[in-house]
Amino acid sequence: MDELKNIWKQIKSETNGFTDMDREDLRKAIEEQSKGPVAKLKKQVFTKWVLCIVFTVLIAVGIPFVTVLISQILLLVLLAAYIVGDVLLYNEYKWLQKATDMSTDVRSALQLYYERVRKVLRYEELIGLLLYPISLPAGFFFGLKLGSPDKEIMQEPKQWIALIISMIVLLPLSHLLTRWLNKMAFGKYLKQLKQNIDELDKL
Amino acid sequence: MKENEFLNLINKHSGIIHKVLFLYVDDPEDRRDLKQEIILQSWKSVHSFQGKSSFSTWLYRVAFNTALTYRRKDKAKQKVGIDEYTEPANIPSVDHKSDLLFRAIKGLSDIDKTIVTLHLEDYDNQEISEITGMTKNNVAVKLHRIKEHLSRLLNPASNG
Repeated sequence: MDELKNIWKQIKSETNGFTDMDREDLRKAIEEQSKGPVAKLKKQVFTKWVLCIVFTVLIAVGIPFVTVLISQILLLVLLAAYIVGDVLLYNEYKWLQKATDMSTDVRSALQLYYERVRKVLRYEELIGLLLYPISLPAGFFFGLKLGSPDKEIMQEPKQWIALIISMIVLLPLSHLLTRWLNKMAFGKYLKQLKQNIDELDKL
Repeated sequence: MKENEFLNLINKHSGIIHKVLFLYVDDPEDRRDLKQEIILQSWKSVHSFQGKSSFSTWLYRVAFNTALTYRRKDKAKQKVGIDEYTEPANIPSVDHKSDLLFRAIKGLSDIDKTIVTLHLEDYDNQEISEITGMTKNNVAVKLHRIKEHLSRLLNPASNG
């Protein structure tokens, strides 16, 4: 290894000239936003949280204007679901806000990032599982009501059958789509982290 | 630590950041982003530098952690033999041996790069173990394998 160290030291001494960094660049770097994966996730979660709050407000404001009792009940259920979604997304955002000490050892840093990203993705899937079963029937009922404003909805068996079939088909599809989108967005990254963790652990 | 003091230290040890950038990413956009991220993460974590270790050791930790948790845009390169690795090392060229060594190290896995870089920087196995979070025994075994691998790549004639 002496030969390698000698060559390495030569690289160091010969490349000293290019190592100076522009002072202004350094100052800008510490003022910039992080472009790391956790920062990007945080931004996504924040956007979702804001959208969720907007929908919550819209639903709350819309309830007094709805005269049909069943529609009001549906809106109240949807409102409750969105309020729960607001709280869950806020918790997720606060959790992502926690600072990461990047001066810890490599294994701890990798493990922390792996667990944090995985936890957030699982949380997203959980929120979807909570909201889809409520949003889908609510949308179905509203659609029926808009199509036939003078008729009582859900009085015909075929409407119930259509609703049940929609739920059986669309709920799992929505969940699978969420998982697939998460895998497309973060699957490779999580694999990269896990491989490095495993390599640190194996002999 | 005040901002000016921090920036002075970063500038003084900027070679560490440059080495990590050249070893871990090739894409110019990735390199720009990772450089900014290392400096930013160093600034955010500077409160944890309490002088128990040298600043260079602390900066190596932050730089390696940032590089290894960085989500790259370029495709992950497979480990390749030295002759198949046709891309230049992209460091200011010193001589053929230096270029070979740098290319050989770039061809290693991320973890092996970390271990061998620290070793070449004269960190002992105990220090490497503390920085990486590996056991000292694992460091010794991995380092032995890396040395053999690099020797074979750099001296193919003498290895038959």
